[in-house]
Amino acid sequence: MPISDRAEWRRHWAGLLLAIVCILPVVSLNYYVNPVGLFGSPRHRAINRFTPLYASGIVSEFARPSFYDDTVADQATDVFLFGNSRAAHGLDTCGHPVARVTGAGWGFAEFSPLIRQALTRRKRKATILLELPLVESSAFAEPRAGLDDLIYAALAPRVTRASIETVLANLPYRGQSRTSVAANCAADKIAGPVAPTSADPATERSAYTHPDPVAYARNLAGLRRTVEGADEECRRSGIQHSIIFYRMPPTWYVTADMLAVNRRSAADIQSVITPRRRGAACEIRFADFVERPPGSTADRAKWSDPSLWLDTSHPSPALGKLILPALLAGSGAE
Amino acid sequence: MLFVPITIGTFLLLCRRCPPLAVAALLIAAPLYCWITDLRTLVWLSISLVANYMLMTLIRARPGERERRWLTALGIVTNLAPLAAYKWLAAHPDRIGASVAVGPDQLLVIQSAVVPLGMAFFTLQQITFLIDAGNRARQPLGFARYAAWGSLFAQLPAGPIAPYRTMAEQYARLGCSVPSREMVFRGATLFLAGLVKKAWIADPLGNAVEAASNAVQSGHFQATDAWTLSWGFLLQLYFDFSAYSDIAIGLALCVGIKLPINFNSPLKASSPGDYVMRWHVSLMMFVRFYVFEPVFKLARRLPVRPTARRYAVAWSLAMVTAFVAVGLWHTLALTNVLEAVVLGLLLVVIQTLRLRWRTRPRMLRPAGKIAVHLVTRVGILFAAAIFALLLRTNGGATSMRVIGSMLDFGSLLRQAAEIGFDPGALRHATAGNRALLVATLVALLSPNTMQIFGIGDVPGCPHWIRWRPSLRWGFASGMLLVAALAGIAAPVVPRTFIYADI
Repeated sequence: MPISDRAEWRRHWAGLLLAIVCILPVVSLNYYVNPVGLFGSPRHRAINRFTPLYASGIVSEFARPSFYDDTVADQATDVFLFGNSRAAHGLDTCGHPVARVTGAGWGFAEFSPLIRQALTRRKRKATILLELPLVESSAFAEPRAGLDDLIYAALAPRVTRASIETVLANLPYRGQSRTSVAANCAADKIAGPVAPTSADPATERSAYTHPDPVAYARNLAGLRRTVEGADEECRRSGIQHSIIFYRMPPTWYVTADMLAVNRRSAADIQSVITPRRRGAACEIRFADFVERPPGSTADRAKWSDPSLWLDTSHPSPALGKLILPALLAGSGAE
Repeated sequence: MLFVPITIGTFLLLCRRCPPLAVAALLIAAPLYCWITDLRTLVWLSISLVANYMLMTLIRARPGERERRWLTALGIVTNLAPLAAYKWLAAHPDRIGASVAVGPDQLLVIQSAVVPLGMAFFTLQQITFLIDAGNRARQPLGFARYAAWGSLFAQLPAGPIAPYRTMAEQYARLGCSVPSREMVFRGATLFLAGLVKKAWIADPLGNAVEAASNAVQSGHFQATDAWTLSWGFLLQLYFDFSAYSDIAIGLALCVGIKLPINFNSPLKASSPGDYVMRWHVSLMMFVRFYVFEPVFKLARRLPVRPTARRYAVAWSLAMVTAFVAVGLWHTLALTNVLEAVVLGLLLVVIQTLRLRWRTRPRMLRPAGKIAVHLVTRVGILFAAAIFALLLRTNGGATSMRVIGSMLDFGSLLRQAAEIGFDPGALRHATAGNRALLVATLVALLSPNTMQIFGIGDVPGCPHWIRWRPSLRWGFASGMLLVAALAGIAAPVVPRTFIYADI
């Protein structure tokens, strides 16, 4: 090999090495701040005890509810809104005394531990609001951080931005206790665009009209487990926490078939909840807005206006603000 | 993630330590790849390789030219028959009892489910084998090297189509010596560039297009959605397939094989014919050598006088036949085949007009020439966007509504005025919209990867950008590696390569 070639290759290797040296600080920052909780549970140092809006959007993508364990346990408020992407994009809790924790596609596998965590360390009565994910099959177990996730958490520009924002967001809170209610209220507005749903109305409709029986049964079992878990916490603490399961009015695709399915599933839900209401330790209610949306006649008409939906299944905040006050009024929080 | 480095590493190691086994490494990689992706491909590819090699042995043993031609023709038809059957089923999903309602943009989805991965590509390669290896003056490859050519894992999903006549010599030397360090690094960097292109441009574009498609399907869409759907899908197709091609060509370089190029900046084309020849170059080369030229040779025997007209008729017939072949190869859906026929006829008309125009004295001033050039280029881009839209929506009323909305310039201007020229708008744009902007700039202004990596002798790239071992390219390779790793590890459902669905 000619000497000039050797020199060129030496420079090439040096360039490669330089790239690695440049990327090392980024990897270190992401590992140390751990803004999305993929390198084990966040250790809540002064630089990362509060999760800013941008990072919480990424946490949702990884479907890691355990990330919120401490956040939920340490909340100053006593009202929690848990939900999936419908709540994330449709319910703006700014101005309400509500802590919201959401994740796209979450089901009872995620909600159940979150609810227990929220109730475990409460010294006062807490209220949990949870939209039932019964018709859409969604529940999935919490995934472990695989090699792909770790690589992403170490190198992705979004995670690096989340790290920087986490550090910057935590600087003003040095020495203060965490009060993330105000900061989290609009978190999911920037959680990215709603995942596209099926482009085909027929497919979309069939998903609502003929829910997968296995997923449906699994969700009912999940509801039962969640209710039992909450009761256990109420019994243990001696506080009668309030849990309100709710369903929003149906998507603007609604058909008679879909309403019939909803009616049947309402009966199933009641059968799970009602016995608990009689002798259970928690106060458990079911607010079903499927057939009777809250508010005036004009407000009710809004649910069939497609322009107020983000897509075929996600309501916009304009619709969400019709629901939230009704829920909070029912809970006695407002 | 580990399949590629293990395969390439094993091949290079065997080249150094035990050259006779190097080809075997690639032969083992192909079925493993099929095992991971689509088992049907393994079955069909095995049948195709064995049957075509046996047929070729038979053809070469026949003394008569006429007999050899008939056997070759029989071989071509036999190769095309299963592909045609699969394509027909994909175009008529009701015949196979598809229970899922087929939306207007679901054609590619159905095709990918029905047609085995890569079948449309390896079938064409086998046809080149039957035609080219029949020449008894040339020594054919042994079965192992022939099978390595027919099943190279890097190009199995979607080409590039590498004709036997241009590749046989390279495969005859495959594994005999270790590929040069420059070739391996050039290939590896191109491979990384392809991954980055796919993960950071093509897939975000796909999200933007899908969102626009959903808006169109719901009936509530604006002019920007219409443009995102058509122009965005054109860019998605381009970046997705060129990313795939970069990956395939890069991997092949790592094992010492130079595959033909697939793209040469088609969106910079100066005429419709130029555009066609810059898009999916390997397919167009196949069509040129194995469809256009034979048809042209046959058609110029037609009893038409004078000679100039006879050649013009022969050229036109060959051109339309070539486009019908391209259309049929993509899908057997009637709408798309008709589109191909119309496109072929349109090119014939344009070429005829251009020839007539050339014979007239030049009347235009320089400003006029620039205007004509600009109008031609904008016209090509607009036509390409419409063509992409028709492919995405499978024609019909939806496409008409979208085209109507695209031409509603008043609404477009109103929307632009609403957004304004706020620099903050870019910061708040979705990843898809940002990708749309970046992709447009890259496709129209920057040199392409083939030029940058010096592949296929495509001119037109400043020397300082071209790949060579240097500090700058070493640094760039490291950054590409990081970007590629972050891209493929992203927590999203990975999008398959669009052309692999074909």
